[in-house]
Formats: sequence, structure tokens, C-alpha cells
Amino acid sequence: MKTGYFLLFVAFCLFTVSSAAAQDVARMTVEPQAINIGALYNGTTLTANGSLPADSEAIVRFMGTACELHMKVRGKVGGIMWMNLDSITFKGVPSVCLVSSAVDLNRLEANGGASIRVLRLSGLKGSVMIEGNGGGHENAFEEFLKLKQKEGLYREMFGNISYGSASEGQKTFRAEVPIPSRLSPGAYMVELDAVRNGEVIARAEQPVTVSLVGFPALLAGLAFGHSALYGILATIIALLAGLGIGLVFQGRGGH
Amino acid sequence: MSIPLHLYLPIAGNSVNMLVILGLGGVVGLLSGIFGVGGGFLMTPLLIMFGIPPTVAAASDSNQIVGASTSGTLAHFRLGNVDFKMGLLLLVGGVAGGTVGVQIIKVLRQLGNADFLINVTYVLMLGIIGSYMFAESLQSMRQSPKKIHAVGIKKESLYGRTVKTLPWQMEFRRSGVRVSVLMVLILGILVGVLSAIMGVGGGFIMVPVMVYMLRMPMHVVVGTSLFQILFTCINVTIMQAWTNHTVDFILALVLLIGSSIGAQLGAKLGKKLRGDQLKILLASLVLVVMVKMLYELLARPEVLLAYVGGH
Repeated sequence: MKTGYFLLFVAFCLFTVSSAAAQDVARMTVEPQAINIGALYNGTTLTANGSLPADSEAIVRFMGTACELHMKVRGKVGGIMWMNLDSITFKGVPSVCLVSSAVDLNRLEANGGASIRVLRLSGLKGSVMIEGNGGGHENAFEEFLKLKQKEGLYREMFGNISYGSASEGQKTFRAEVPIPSRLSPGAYMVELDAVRNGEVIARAEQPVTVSLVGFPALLAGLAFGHSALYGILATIIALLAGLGIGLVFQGRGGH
Repeated sequence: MSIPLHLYLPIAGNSVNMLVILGLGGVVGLLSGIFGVGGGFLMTPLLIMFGIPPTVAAASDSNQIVGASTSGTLAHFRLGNVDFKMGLLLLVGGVAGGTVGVQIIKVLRQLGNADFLINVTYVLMLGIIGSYMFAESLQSMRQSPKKIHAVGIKKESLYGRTVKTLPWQMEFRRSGVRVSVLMVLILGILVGVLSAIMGVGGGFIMVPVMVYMLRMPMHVVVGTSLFQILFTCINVTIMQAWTNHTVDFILALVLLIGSSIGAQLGAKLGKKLRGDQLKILLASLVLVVMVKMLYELLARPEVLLAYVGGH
């Protein structure tokens, strides 16, 4: 009899755990999965659709691949003039980081803890390595964030995620992420984090490829693949264009 | 249906408004045509302001200057304002000086604080040239033609004594001067060194050198300076495209259309202005750039980080 009760208890536990696990699932699809940069590209909007646990909040991040950036720290010389002084290298910084949420991230962070902070721009500090040849780089990461935000490549947005109806413990969501015009070709990742009580309870990822097409692709291929020829051609075309414009003006000047 | 105004620049990695870039090219081209300066010291900071990476801005600007100075040289050639002999000699000196300047920069960078020295040189050069030109032009504008003639003779005799002692005197008919080839070459080297250190075409240094050191008439100075800048920028464009992949041809072409038209208008406008008027306007422009640079040196930057490269 005791064995029977025990088996019933185990079955109940397994059912509870499995149904909770089924609810703590996040799914996502993104559109477009490939961004083509043609001659007239001026930024685009990436749409992410999916579902997540009904009692959680979605944080969607559009992330570029980690890279290494060599920069100069600006400091005062002789207490008067601002100059580029020490060299500094940032390792493991994403080329782009766009963080979207339905509600204010500050409010979410206030309710939660370190898990939310890690998903924010300031949270990148933990994964970025800073190497400098001088001292006094305490605020280097904050300055780096300022620079990237000024360029429009790092951004925190709220209100661009909307939720749909909930059923069976899951709710649908739709995120519209504005992709900047200052975008380089390469591999990007769209990440969905479902957050409850300050903890990430489910995740989903979708890759997005950004590539040059048409004339920009042709030009970039020439510039990087046949650089000397590209330089000579650029010079010849500039010369001819200058001569052409000069001749047009000569014609007009004659009358 | 709206007309697409934005164009994606594959090397700069950004999209720009074509009308803004055309306008920018037009304004800088106008100044280039009037004063015979390449305009790099104006265009590059403006492009950076519109989101172009510094290295791409500087290299693409050189590419557009090739076209703009071709158009400008052609316009000045028709007006009889290009002294090819003088331009070629200065160019030879400039190339040699540029090579020396690049080596000096290498040494300065190894010693540290190279950027400090570059910026201070920039401000000092702009300040000295701008102030001298401004004061001199103002003085000559205030003086009567008779007095100018008298001062001219006095200055010529003082200056001539030194210059005439130098060997290899040569007649430059277009400029109406007789000077030593050695002096022209040395001045070319000096400008080449300074422009390599400062990372610019050198037009705004070359123009005062031609006016005050070589005593060339202002209109011939403008045409000859553009002719010399053309070759300097051809060299820079090919080298930058080849070694650094920083020439954005699309950006250069859009800038070029604007600046070539601007340069033509500038050459016509410049012809209507007197030499001293041209000088005082260029001096004012140089002083404005100097004040802007000085402000950038003294005011706290918005961000305390900068990308490596650019001016």
C-alpha cells in the first residue's frame, strides 16, 4: 500500500514539473531572417513574433558579433588641453546591441536583480575586457557606452514590444526593432529572454544575416579584393568627372 | 511616390542623405575654387559630424579633391592662372617633404604625445598664417595704391637681396617672378613635411607660402595650388585605397559632383575679387578653423574616447 502511495506521489511530482516546464518555454521567429543592404538601404525594422510564459516579461536583444576595438582615451595635457592620450582596447564588445522591452527596463531591474542587469547595456561590462597602456581607465566602459549610443549602435528601447492573448500559460508577443542604417554585413543574433521576478526563466535565439547586395556588394568586393585597381579606378573616374564638369562649365561660359 | 534621398555607403558602412552630401561638397568646392585650397581641413570634420568614420572621411575626401581640383585647375588654366613650372617644382619638393614628414610622425608616435604635437602645430600654423594674412591684407586694403606701390618696392628690395644670393635662379613667366629653384624645392619640402604631420593636403599652407615667400600674384597662386593639390591627392587616394581600404568612392563621387560645381562657381567668383580681398577672406576662414580647433582642444569633449585614425 505504501509503495502505491509513493508511486502516485512520484507521478504527481513528475506531472507538475513537466507541466511547469512546458509553460516556461519561449518561442520566437524573426522577419526578415536576412537583411540585404542595397544602394538605397537606410535602416529597416526587424519583427520578432513568438510566445513566452504568460506571467513573464519579454526582453528582445539584437546583437552583433563580438569584436575588438582599438581606441584612444582623451585626457588633459598640462591641465589645459584635451588630447588623445593612452591607447585602449575593448575586447568582446558586440558591434551592435539593441535592447527592447515592453516596460521600462529600470522598473524591471528594480523588481528583479542581477539577471536583468546582465541583459541591459550596462550589463555588457561583465563580458567586455578592457586593456590599456596607461592608468585611470575606471570610466572607460561608461565612455564606450556613451560613444556607441551616440552612434546609434547601442540602444535601450521600451514600448516596442506588444503582447497578445494568453492561453495555456503562454502569451504571444510581437517586437518591432528599428535596425540602424549604420550597419555592417555579418552575422547577428536576435535573443529573446523571458523574465519573471528578476530571473530569466526561458530563452530563444534566432540568427539574422546581414549582407551587401547589388552595387554596394560589387564596390566592397572591388575595394577589399582588388584594392590597388579600386584606388586607380576611383582616381580616374574622379579625374574624368572633374574634367567633364569643367567642360560643361566651359560651354556655358562661352555664351 | 517619394524620391529616395538616402544612399548606402559600403566602405563607410552607413547611409547618408545625398542632398546633404551634395550641399556639403558644393560649399567646400566653392571655397576651394575661390582660394585654391583643397578644403580637406573643412570637409573631413564635417563628414565626421555626419556619421562617417574619420579614416573613411579623410581618404574619401582626398578622392573627391582629385575631381574638384581637376575641375578647378581647368577653370584656372583657362583664365591663365596656372604656373605649371612652379607647380611641378613645388610638387617634387612636396612629395619629398611628405615622405620625410611620415617618418617624423612615426618617430613622434614612438616618443608618445604625437597627437598633442600635431594639434598644437595645427593651431599655431593656422594662427600665425591666418593672423599674418589678415593683418597684411587689411593694411593693403586701407592703403592708397601709391603707398602700396611704395611699400611693394621697399619689401621687394629687402626680400630680393636674400633671394638673389641663392644659386640656380629661374624665370617663372606665368607668375612674373625670378627665384632660385633651390628655394622653391625647399619650400615645397617644408610644406610637404607640415602637411604630412598635420594629415592634410597642405593647400592652406602652400597658398601663403606662394604669396609671401615666392611673391606670386594671388590669382596665379590659386590656380597653381589647385594643380599641385591634384597630384598630392591622386597619390593619397591610391595609397589609402590600396593599404587601408578607406576610400568610399560613392561618397567621393557625390561630394565631387557638389564640389566640382562649387569649384567652378568659386573660380568665377574669385576672378571678380581683388587679390587683397581674396587674402582677407582666406585669412578669416583659416582663423575660424583655428578658433574651432582651439575650442576643441580646450573644451571638455562629450565622450572621452576616440577611434584610432582620422585627422
